[in-house]
Amino acid sequence: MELDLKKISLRDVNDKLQNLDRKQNQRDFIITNPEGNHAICAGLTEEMSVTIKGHVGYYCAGMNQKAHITIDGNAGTGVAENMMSGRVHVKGNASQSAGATAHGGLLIIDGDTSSRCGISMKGIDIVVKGSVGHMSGFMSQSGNLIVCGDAGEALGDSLYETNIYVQGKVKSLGADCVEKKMDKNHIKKLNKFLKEADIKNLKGENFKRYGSARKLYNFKVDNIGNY
Amino acid sequence: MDGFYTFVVGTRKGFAVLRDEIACKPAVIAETDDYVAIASEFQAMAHLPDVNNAKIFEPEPGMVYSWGN
Repeated sequence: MELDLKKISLRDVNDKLQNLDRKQNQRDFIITNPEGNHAICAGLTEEMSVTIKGHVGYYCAGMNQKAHITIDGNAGTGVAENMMSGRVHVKGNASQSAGATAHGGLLIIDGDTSSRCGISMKGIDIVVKGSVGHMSGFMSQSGNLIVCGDAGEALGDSLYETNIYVQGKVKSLGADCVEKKMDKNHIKKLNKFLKEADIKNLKGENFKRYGSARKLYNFKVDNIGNY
Repeated sequence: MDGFYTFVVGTRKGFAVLRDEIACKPAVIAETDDYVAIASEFQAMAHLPDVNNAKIFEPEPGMVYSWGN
């Protein structure tokens, strides 16, 4: 079913997707003319497939549960923020704070992301086929952030337990973020994510893993400079 | 320059844009063969001709981008 945002208001489109008509049981939607509107497909809670044809604004697919949402364009700040489950696929670039605070699900970005990708992520898996901007993985707590390109300054600053995998160059690591050993299980897991994101030409073995040195977990006066 | 900003300066034949060092303020650029547009978000340029086929990107923090002279 096509939902044209030039003909139907954003509020009505979101309302329709948030409250699916069970009698019709229509679960395939195409949204046209998004024109950078904010909060498109926010708060979906059921299994459905939505393709958005064009560029979207802030917080697209925020709080998503179960739905599979494809953005055939670029996404603004906070795409898939606070996602709980499901899958969000951005075919273009994403702006700042992609996948912020998200608890679960899979976010795939074919292009690059701006700064703070995966900020405070709490269990989401993020695969970025391009590069990520500065302070990506900031204060991230759980999940996996996979970057096929390069990472900007202060990667993984003040992170807790997220695994960050980067294939390219890392401009600098943030406070308490260190390179960690890749064992067989990490490579296996990483290859699974690459497969899920339909990446065929890259191998998990060529990535480096970064994680928490766990030195900022408790307050130590020696670390005062890092707070 | 201190503080948070997206700074645009224009002349008769060109213009330049500079974003603050930590990318606090948003900025997005749309570039085509015919024009370059800068806004804080895509929505503001959604009505521009053929913008969906433009090259759309965010300027890197602390880097000067310029067109013309």
